[in-house]
Amino acid sequence: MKRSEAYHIAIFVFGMLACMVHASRAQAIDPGTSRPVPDSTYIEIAYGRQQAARNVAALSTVHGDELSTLFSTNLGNLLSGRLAGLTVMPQGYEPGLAAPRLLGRGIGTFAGGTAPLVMVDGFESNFEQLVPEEIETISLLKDAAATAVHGFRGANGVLLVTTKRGRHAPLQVQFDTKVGLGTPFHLPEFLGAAGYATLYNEALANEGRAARYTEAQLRAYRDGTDPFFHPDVDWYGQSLRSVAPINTHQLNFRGGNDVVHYFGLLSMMNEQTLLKRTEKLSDNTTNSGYRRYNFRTNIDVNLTKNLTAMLTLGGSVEDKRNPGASETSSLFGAMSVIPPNAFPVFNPDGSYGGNSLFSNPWGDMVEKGMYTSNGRTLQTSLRLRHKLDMVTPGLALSAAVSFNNFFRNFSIKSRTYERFALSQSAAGDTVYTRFGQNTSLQGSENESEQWRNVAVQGFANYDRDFGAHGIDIMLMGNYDSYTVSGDAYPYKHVGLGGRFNYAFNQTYLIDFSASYMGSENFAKGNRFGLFPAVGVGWVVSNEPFMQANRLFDRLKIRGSYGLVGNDVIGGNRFMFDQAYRYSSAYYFGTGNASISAIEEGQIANPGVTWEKEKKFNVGFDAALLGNALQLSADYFFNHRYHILASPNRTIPGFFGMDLPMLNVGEVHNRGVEAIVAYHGRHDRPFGYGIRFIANYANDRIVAMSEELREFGYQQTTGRRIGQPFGLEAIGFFRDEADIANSPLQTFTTVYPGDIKYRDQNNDGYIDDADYAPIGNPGSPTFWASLHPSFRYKGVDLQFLLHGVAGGSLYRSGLAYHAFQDNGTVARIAEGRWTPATADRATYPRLTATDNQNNYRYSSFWQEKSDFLKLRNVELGYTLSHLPEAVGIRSARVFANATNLFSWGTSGPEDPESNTTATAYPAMRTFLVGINIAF
Amino acid sequence: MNHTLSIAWCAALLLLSSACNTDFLDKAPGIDVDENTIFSSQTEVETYIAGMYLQGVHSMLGLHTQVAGVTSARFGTKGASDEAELGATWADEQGWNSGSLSTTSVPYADYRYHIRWAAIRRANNLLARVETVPGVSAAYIGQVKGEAQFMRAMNYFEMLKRYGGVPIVDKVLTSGDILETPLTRNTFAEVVDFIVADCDAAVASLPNQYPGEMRGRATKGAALMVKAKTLLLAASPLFNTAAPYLSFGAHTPLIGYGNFDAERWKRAADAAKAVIDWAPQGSIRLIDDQGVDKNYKYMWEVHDNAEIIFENKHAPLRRTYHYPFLGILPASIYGGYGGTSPTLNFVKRYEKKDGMPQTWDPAGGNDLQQKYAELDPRFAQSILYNGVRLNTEYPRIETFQGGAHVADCKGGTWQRKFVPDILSNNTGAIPHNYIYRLADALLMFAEASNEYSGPTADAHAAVNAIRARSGMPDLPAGIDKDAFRARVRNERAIELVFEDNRLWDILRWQIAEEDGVMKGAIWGIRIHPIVGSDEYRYEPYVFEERSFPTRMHLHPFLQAEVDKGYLVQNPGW
Repeated sequence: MKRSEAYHIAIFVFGMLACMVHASRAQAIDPGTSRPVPDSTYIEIAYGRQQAARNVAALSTVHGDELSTLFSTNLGNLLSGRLAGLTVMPQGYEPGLAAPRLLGRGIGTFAGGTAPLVMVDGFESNFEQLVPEEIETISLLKDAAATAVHGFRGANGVLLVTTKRGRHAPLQVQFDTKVGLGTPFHLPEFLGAAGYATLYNEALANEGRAARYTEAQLRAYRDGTDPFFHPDVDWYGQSLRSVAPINTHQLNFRGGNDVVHYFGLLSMMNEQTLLKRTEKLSDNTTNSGYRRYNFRTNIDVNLTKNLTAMLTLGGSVEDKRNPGASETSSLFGAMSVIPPNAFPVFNPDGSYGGNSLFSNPWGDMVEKGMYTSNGRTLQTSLRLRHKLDMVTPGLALSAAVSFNNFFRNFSIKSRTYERFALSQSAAGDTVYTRFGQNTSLQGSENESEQWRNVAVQGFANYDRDFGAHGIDIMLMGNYDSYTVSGDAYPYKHVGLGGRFNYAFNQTYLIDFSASYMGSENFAKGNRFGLFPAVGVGWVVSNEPFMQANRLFDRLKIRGSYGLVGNDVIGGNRFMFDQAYRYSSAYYFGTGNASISAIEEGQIANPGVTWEKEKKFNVGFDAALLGNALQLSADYFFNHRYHILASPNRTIPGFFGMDLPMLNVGEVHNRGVEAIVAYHGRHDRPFGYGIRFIANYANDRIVAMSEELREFGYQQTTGRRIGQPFGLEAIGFFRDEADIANSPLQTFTTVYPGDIKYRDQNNDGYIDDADYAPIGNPGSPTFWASLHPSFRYKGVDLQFLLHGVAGGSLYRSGLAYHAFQDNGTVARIAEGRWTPATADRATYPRLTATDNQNNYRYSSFWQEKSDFLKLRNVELGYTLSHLPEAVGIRSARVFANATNLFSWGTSGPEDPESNTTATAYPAMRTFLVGINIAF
Repeated sequence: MNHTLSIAWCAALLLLSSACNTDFLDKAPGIDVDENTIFSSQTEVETYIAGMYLQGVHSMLGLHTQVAGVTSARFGTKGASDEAELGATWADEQGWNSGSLSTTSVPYADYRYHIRWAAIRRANNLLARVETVPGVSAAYIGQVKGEAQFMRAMNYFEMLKRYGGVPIVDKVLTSGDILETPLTRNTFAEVVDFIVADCDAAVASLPNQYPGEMRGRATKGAALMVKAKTLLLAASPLFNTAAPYLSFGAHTPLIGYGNFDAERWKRAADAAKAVIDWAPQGSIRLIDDQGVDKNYKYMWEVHDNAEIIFENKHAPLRRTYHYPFLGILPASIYGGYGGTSPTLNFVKRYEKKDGMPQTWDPAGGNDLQQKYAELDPRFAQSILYNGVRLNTEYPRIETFQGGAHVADCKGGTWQRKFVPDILSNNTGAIPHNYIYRLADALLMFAEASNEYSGPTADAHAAVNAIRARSGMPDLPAGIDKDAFRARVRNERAIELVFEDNRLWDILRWQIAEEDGVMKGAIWGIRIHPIVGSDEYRYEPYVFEERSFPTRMHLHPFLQAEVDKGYLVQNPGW
């Protein structure tokens, strides 16, 4: 075991122990935290529900109510640190574009897709546009027993989203409204004009070149007395405001009687971006922001005594608008590049500043045009369920059809505008040099994209107890067709599936499940596959010999083993067919006429098949202290095989064509998960509860037909998926003697203060052969969260701490690499190497031109991305027992914060995402609100 | 009610059963092309043939284009021999000069390794399938087969000169073929015979000429050129010897014949003669009607002129900021990438107009412009030197110290050849990227017949024809075999400069390790204005010491390829 693994496991064990000790002294629990699941309740599983007591599969669940204490326009982000086994990796923070990468139990493939299958109310669809208030539960199905009925779509895990439905109860109406603001977690810090000019002179001097800025100019930058010819522009301050307003409102009602159960919701969410409001300044721009309306009507009707119809209708409408371009990325990119003294925002005559190298970010916001989009999601399904107790008790048939649709139309209008560079003529006159010209807005009004998914399902269920023998059988058939604009052919699946669950005395449990599925992406004859799984459970606490024990209220040991697959295999679609493609043209004739040329594409793999995974899982669930303390732990080992890889090791180049992708790759992925939760009773004035979740998943590439590398350390096989390779930085060169005595760095001539690299193969040269594994991939292996909640009378307080480890982040680009591409210089460059600071330098020698040695991919620019975040805090006060005359059952006022603090990495980037520091920043949000129940 | 229900369930069952219909998962008809589409008509086959040329025809100039995922070279082999020094210190070709070719990365040695096999695969497919195309004439089938055989032969020749023997692949391989009957390297002799057989077959079926719109397709003459070049290579000292450049034990047949046979020179001479004899049928002749100081430039500048036997037609219009011009011109002329600077070692090879060698004082002299003016007219048509005009935008080239165009100019001059007059800031040009021309055949004939039977009158006549059209006097009559060899080798260097020939000639003659060729001191000149005079002073200096490990006579195979177990690595690597 490597040291880092031992370290993670040590934290994990320590955390568990601490939590157990802590929790055992606890007295009560807040209703918000993890509720115990009574054995008699039903839980959501793949294509159905099951008695919790009879479940043998590994799954973890979070309730929608728990998610409403955080804020993100994307529901996926709210799952961070909530579901054991689910890793959420933010990929950006711009409102409306904040879709995270989700991983169920880590990564199992280096070629195929890694995202879990998402099922909303039994049908494949997006869930990220939903709001917490319409969610009943979200569950991650993890092992083979849980996912086998999803066949070759289940290997990455299945995220099961269940929306709220009505129930047999009087009408309950809930209304809440929240207002607040977001503020950037970090923004990159750049030097002002004086600092820039001083360091630029130093960089020039390091290259033996004359200084560009005279002493008088430096003085002018320091004084700031000449804002036009010696400007000092902070583009972030010019273009961004310090806070971005947020507000959300929602109204839902829920109830039902013998005939109808209903749940309805309306919600509105509005998040503005950090960009300053520009609409009042020009007709060529728009204010930047994102707004979404959600609605839901879930109605269950008992048509007859035995026939129920369930109508699910959920939808959303979203508006997004940005000045200049569809995303803010180019604007943020520009702001992080331009030297502060390049040009003023406005020239003395009021025109925009600019030069030949850079556009004016503020001008781009105000004058360059606008993007507006309107997206509509509609998720509908109708399910009929017919109880056939008259045929035999416990038998039911059901059928369901679903239509999911997403449609977005958008318009991009753009124009160019004039910028002027200032200079002074010999006579002292101010000379304006124009760049760009003013044009009118041009663009298309109606661009659109859409995708839609049609699915049909039929079920037969048989659920009956014969004395001590409990039987629960499900058989099903389904097909779906998924059309995505831009893809010529729809994606289709057909499947049959079933589950047989048997319980003896509610103590010995066995569960067989299987599916037989086909997909359009494979050759006839290779289309269908069988995916079986078996799970067993032993409820030890039900045994007579355990009846005397006082420790366990419940103890279940479970295990499962089975085969699932992943049909998102990577590579071209229809790989079984030899593809031919048009390539660049050739020319014939005395007039060089172009003749289109066709060429053989990558060699077909007629036997191409899906990835397969053998999943092994063993775990236990226990309840102690009168069901107040819940423990659960799982160990898993997943062996993924038939991963697509090119046979780079075996097929020689004289084969003459791009090598086919063959199903020859293998990955091992193993890990553990644990949940410790303590929850007390409600009847005391003071209560608290706590939940601790920890999980670890680590993968290894076992086989990928990789070519043999000259130096073993350059092999990817045997390492984690995504392992970065780079040079190992071992400090800065002290002096010329140090350079002379070190291996020759071949990228360019090096000088004292340049980064020194390790000669991995000891050949006396630092070159491409010295690229070796450095650090970790971007994805973490471990995370843990601690979620305590307290209540005293009407006051409640809860927070969520989330720690992540096992990944690396990499620093490249202008926020770190000084003066590259004529760019600016970040504050971290102040720690640069100079002969005087050789002992304490934290940054290499400055150079004004692109440095071929220092800015190579190396460990110098890499850091562990381990961090601990205070993800969420919420403080609330509940007014109950209100006079009936008020008409309000209860009211709660609250304030909460998302991403309040972070400990870990030092730089301006967000350690969670691998986005660069120069993208839209990670946000810290504060909201206050009121929730009223009628 | 129950009635309604039964109907509902029947409907549900129907919906599901429609999915069980096996067609549901079939791919709907679409626009995708498959192999049967390609061989369904002549029109479709023509696109496939265009693709074969795209992949199969290499480039003399560094075009830096991407074809089938392979990006071609930026500069070409000129910077890897004594012809020139590249201003771009980062150029892959510098690896030849420092002797640091590597077995782990492709570009230094042979970026076309993989795409050549792709072209051969395509040629094999055409040979196998063209007869199945409905409604095409026998003549068309013969022509296409000839083109495929030519393409296969030319690509094998390009590998033969780099690697020696390589596996002979004469059919479309499947991955099963590879694993079941592994191919290994064929001997040098087998590959020579394979190329010759392909060329003979192609010559029999290819036309002498095409109509104008098909210019660029392989003719009889192109196939004859491949044969001549192959047999000349086979007769050359590197391969036609009992003592290979490095000992290779039992594998010796992979890198040469393992014996000397003078008859190989005879075959080479005959093959070159065949090109010369065929030329009139293809309307091919030396360009000799533009004036003795313009014929040569006309030949390299004007597209599809009468001297060109086969050319790469791939490059569309290129501007000053595109390759190949970026790889030829320095930063100071149209912002090129470092420029190509001919070395003094090479400039010394230009004779004076009277046929005598020019004298270059190692201590320098005050008569540089005078010396330039005395040189072979081809010098001014190939090389851009101090004081001359390039075009209206660069009316005077200054490579003297402190001059406008001296940066990176290690040799003291720049390359002019292949920069057409039409090129300017506002006007692009289609690069003239020929592969084979008649002058090469004449020089091959002269070289081979001298080796076989001494400097015959025919051999003299062949060389003199080339000299005469550029205003140079005949070679002295009566020189002996060794002297003639030296003169014909020098003539090849001058006539074919920058044409991707010099490096391969040096290797096959085994002269790379002679001082100043690819090893040892490489010289340039520093030029200084002389106050009060139009003359300039030149000072020779050594700008680089090059090294040439003997193993570089043949390329290494990529180590990753060798590790797959089919190929024996060449000696020394």
